[in-house]
Amino acid sequence: MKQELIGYAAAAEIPVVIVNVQRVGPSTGQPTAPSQGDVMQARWGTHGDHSIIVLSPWSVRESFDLAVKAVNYAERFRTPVILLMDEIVGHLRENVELPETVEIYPRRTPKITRAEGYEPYAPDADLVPNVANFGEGYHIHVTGLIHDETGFPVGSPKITREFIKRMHEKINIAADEIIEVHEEFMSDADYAVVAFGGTARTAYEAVLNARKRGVKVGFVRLVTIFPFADKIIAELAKKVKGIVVAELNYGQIVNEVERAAAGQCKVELCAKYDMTIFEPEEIEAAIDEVSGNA
Amino acid sequence: MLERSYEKFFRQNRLPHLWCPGCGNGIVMKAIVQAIEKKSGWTQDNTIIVSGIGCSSRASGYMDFDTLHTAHGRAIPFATGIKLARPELNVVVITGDGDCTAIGGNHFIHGCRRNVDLTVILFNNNIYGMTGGQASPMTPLGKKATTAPYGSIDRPFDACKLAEAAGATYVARSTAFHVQHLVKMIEDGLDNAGFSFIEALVQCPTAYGRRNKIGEPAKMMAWMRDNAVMKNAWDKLPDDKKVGDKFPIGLFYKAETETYDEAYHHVIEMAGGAAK
Ligand SMILES: Cc1ncc(C[n+]2csc(CCOP(=O)(O)OP(=O)(O)O)c2C)c(N)n1
Ligand code: SF4
Ligand SMILES: [Mg+2]
Repeated sequence: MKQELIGYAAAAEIPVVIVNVQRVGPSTGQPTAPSQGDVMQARWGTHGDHSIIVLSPWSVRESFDLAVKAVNYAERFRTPVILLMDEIVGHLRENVELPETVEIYPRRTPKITRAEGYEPYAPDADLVPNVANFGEGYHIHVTGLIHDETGFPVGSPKITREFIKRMHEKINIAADEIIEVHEEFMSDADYAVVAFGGTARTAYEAVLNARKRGVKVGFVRLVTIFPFADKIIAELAKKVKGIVVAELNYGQIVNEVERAAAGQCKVELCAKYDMTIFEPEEIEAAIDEVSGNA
Repeated sequence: MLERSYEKFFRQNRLPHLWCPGCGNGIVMKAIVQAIEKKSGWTQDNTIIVSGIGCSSRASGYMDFDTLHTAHGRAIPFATGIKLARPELNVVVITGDGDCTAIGGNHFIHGCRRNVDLTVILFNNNIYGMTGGQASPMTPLGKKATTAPYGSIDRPFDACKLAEAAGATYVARSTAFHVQHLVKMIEDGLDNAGFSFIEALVQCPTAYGRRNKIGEPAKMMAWMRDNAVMKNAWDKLPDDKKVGDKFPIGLFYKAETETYDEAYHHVIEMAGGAAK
C-alpha cells in the first residue's frame, strides 16, 4: 500500500530514492533471511504504467557509490530510484575507503520566469521538466493526477497518452547510459552466469572454480536491474551457447533474460528460495549442466 | 459593497470549481484565504497549501500558492516533510473527514503527537463525498451511506477530542454557516506555533444530505445554525440539554510546547549540521 507513493513520485516527478533490503516473503515470510524476491515488485510494485530505475550493489563500497548514483539519477530524471539490496549485502561488513567528495547532480531549476511563461511540467530537451522548488514564488501545483505542462489535471486522452509516453521515454532515451553491467572472463567465454546483488558474489566464485577446471564460463553482473540490459543480453546470447541465471527466488530476472536472449542460446535458471544463500558448488553444478560437463 | 480583496488568492483561470451547487467546501476555502490575508508576513510566496484526496482536497488546485495535492490520507506526512526541509515556510493542510480520520488516521495522530508546526483544516461533510457517499469514521450513528444503507452502526470519531488527546496544541471547530467565527478560528490556528487543528463542518447536499433526507443546502446550513453552541455556552449547559444534534463550536484546547521542527533542528545542530 505504501507503494502508492512511488507512483506519486513517478507521476508528480519528485526525486526520491528508496532502499529495499530484501528478505524472504511473501508476507512476514522468514524474517530476516536473505532473498531476492522483490525484483518485479521493484519494477511494478506501485500501480499504473510507470518507469523506474532500479540499481543493485554487491559490496559495501558499491552500496555507497550506487546510493550516490541513485540520488543523482533521481534528481536528473525526476523519478523514483530503487536501491535494491538483499540481506547478504545489507549485513555485509567490509573495509572501505570512501571518497572525500562525490559528484552531485544539481537540482533542476526553472530556466525562465513566471512572466516569461514558465510551466513547471514542460519537458526540457531530455524530456525531463525543470520543476521549481516550493517557496520561490512560482506558485506551482503538484498532483498525482495526470496533468499537462502547467501541472494542472486534465481529463484529455491526448494529454494522458503524451504524459505516459514521456514518463517512459525520458528513461528509455538515456537507458544506454543508465544501464551498467559488470563483466569478467567474457573474452573467450562459451557460457555465462548472470547474477546480481549478493548472489553475484557466490556466482563469481563459482565462475572462478569452473574456470580452474577449464570450463570457459564468464561472469555477467547486472548492476542496473531496470531499465533492463536488453541489448547487452541480446549480444551475450549471440556470443555464448548457454546462460545460467542465478537468483534467490523462484525465478524473476530469468524471465527478463529469456526475453532479451530471444532464443539465441539456452537460458537455465539456478533458483534458490529456502532462506539460505547459494553455495558456489550449487552454481557450479548449474554451469556444468548447461555446458554439458555434468 | 465588500471589497473582494481575497480574489487575488485564487487561480482565476482554474475556476469555476468542480464542487456541486450548494456545497460547503468553497466557503471554507475562502475562509482560509481570509485568515491568511490577515496574517502579516504570510504571503502567497511563503505559504504552501497541501491537501489529500477528496472533494475538499481539490481546493488546493484553485488557490494561488505553491500547492501540493498528495495521495489519499497522506497530506500530513507530505506537509511535515516540507516543514522540516524548509521551516521558514508556512504550511497549511486541507483534508476531508475520510482522508484525515480513515486512511490518514495514523498520520493525523502522529502529526498531533509530534506537534509539527502545521495548520490542518478538516472539511467535515460526514461522508466520502468524492466517491459517492460511503460512510467515513465521522458519519454520525444511524446516518445513511452507500456502505450503510440501514444507517451507520460504527460509532464516529470526535476529531477534535482525538486531536487534543493525541497532542495537538490548538484545537477548534466551526462551521460553514458561522463564517466570521470560522475565519477567526483558522486565523488563531495559523498564529499557533505547533500542530493546529480546525474542524470545519460543511454541507454536502449531494452525497450526504440527499441520502439522509436533510434537504437543500440552505436547510443543512440552518441545521448548523440551530445546533452549534458556542463553547462558553456549551460548558454551562446541563448534560440533559447536550442532547439531540447539539454540538459545541469554538476553541477547545490550546497549549504551548516545543514544535517538532524546532526539536528537529536541535538534532541537526547536535549532529553538526547547518544551524537554523
Ligand atoms: C488509496 C486510495 N483509496 C481510495 C481512494 C478513493 N477515494 C477518493 S476520495 C475518497 C474519500 C474522500 O472522502 P473525504 O476525505 O471525506 O473527502 P470528501 O470527498 O468528502 O471531501 C476515496 C475513498 C483513493 N483515491 N486512494
Ligand atoms: S459530493 Fe458533496 S462534498 Fe463533493 S462537491 Fe458535491 S456537495 Fe461537495
Ligand atoms: Mg468527507
